[in-house]
Amino acid sequence: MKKEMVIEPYLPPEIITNILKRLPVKSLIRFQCVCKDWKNLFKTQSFISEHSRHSTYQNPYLIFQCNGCECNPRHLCLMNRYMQILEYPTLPFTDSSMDPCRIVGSSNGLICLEFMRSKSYMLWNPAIREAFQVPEFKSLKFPRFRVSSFIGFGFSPIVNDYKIVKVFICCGWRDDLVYQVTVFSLSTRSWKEVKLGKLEGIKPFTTGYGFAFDGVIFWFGFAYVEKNGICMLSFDIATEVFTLIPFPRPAVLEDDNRLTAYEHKLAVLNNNRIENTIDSWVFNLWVMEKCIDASGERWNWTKIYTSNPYLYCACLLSPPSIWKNEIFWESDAFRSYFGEANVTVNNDEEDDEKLVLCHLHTNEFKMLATTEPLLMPEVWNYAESLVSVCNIHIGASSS
Amino acid sequence: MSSSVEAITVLSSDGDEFKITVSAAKLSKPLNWMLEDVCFSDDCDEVPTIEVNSKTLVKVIEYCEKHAPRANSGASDSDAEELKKWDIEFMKMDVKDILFHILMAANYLHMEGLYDLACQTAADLMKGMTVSQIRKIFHIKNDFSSEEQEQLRRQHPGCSFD
Repeated sequence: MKKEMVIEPYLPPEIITNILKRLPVKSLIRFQCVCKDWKNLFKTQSFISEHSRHSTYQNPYLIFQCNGCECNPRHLCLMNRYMQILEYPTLPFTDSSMDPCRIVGSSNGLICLEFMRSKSYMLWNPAIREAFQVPEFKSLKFPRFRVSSFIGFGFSPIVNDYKIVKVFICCGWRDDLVYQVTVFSLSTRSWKEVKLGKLEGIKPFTTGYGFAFDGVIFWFGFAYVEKNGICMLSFDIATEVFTLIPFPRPAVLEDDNRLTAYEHKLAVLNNNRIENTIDSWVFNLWVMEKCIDASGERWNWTKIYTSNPYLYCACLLSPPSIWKNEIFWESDAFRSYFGEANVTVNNDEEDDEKLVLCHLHTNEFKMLATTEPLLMPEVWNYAESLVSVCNIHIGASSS
Repeated sequence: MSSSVEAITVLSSDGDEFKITVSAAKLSKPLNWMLEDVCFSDDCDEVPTIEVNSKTLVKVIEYCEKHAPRANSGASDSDAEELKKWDIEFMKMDVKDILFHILMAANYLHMEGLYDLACQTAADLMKGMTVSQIRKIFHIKNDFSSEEQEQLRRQHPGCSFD
């Protein structure tokens, strides 16, 4: 073989882009100082989308909101895919900062916050430390017997836009009825009213936050329609149309159900605790897939997992969530139920909070200790993104 | 092409001859086309040239031979796990000396698996580098004026131009 000096190659731009899209946002912020081309590249729509897509699949985070921490409702924890709790991004400081807030949803890098007292909203990108205070909608109707509202937040890749949808319910003659639906779009930065559509005349009876998946926001165990019984409700972010989806089995209202995503499919975690004994409690995972045939659009439901985690963990506090291939809870009192061979503990300090993970392929339970008190956290899937909401820039003081 | 052929001979850009098994060559679309187009039987003199230098081609062929059995038959979880570990070891190489050449070769040979792996390796290496190190390996000149640098630094306190 000939001995030759290897000449350093100049990589073509498409290869450089393919490498850069794999970097965490923190590195990209640093590397915008490399040259003007890179700085401009990081602002292009195509690069931001590619980076988001990669970060969603390759670098999933979990965000916890610690509702139990009364003293600091803004305290958030972030866990990376190696289960290290990394950063504690501080919520943006604004005028309404004394107003307690909750996370409505996390979608494609942005988090939507609802301020509980003022009922105002904020869109927040923690990775690039930008937040946008959503303006008020000026044409809200105020019927005599307004009772409640429910809300959802999500991203649609089809229209490349983030939207908040808010449904208002009033007390009707016999039932509570939907009377107004408003939608906020980040691209136009404004609210508008949309048609009730399928919501006309139905009786919704929950006030939860919607779950955004693949451009659609879903609410669970929701609308009551005479023929269908319990339905799920969906809102297509691109077309702004509501759809009712029949529930997979005779609905049991006592069940604790939660929407999630599993292997890029919409899924329902169903926590059935109807029986009195802990031995008979079951935990099911259903996945649903949309199929279109001659009779129109249908959803196929498949139960892919059943287990009884209570045999391992006496007390599961938080609502469960799916993260990668694992079901995720918080627990504080599993000790007495130990002794099973397939339970591993990463840290045996007894006073620590514990996170419980159950692997869906191997059915293996894992306990993970955290030094931070979590206390009934709400858990959201999160992926870093460069998407700019561009209005309030949160300075170095919050780091 | 005769079905009895199990390995083909190719030339690197520096003119060295390399043998690659047919199943390994199938990992690359252009090599696969060559298999279909060019006569590789013994009485054929034509040896196709691949525009990749010898040092890089050795590594590319090593990757192909390792991944070919799995790509052709599908593998169990434990095999996939083993292969992942092998990939990590395989990618322990110098950025400028060889990694960038592997990137170019994987791109040119349409080898998706190797291309993804090499891009990810490069990204992981970049995370720990300073801005001036990045400029050096990518042959980039700092084209910001001092005012622009100052402005960027104000916007992003974590930024450094060094």
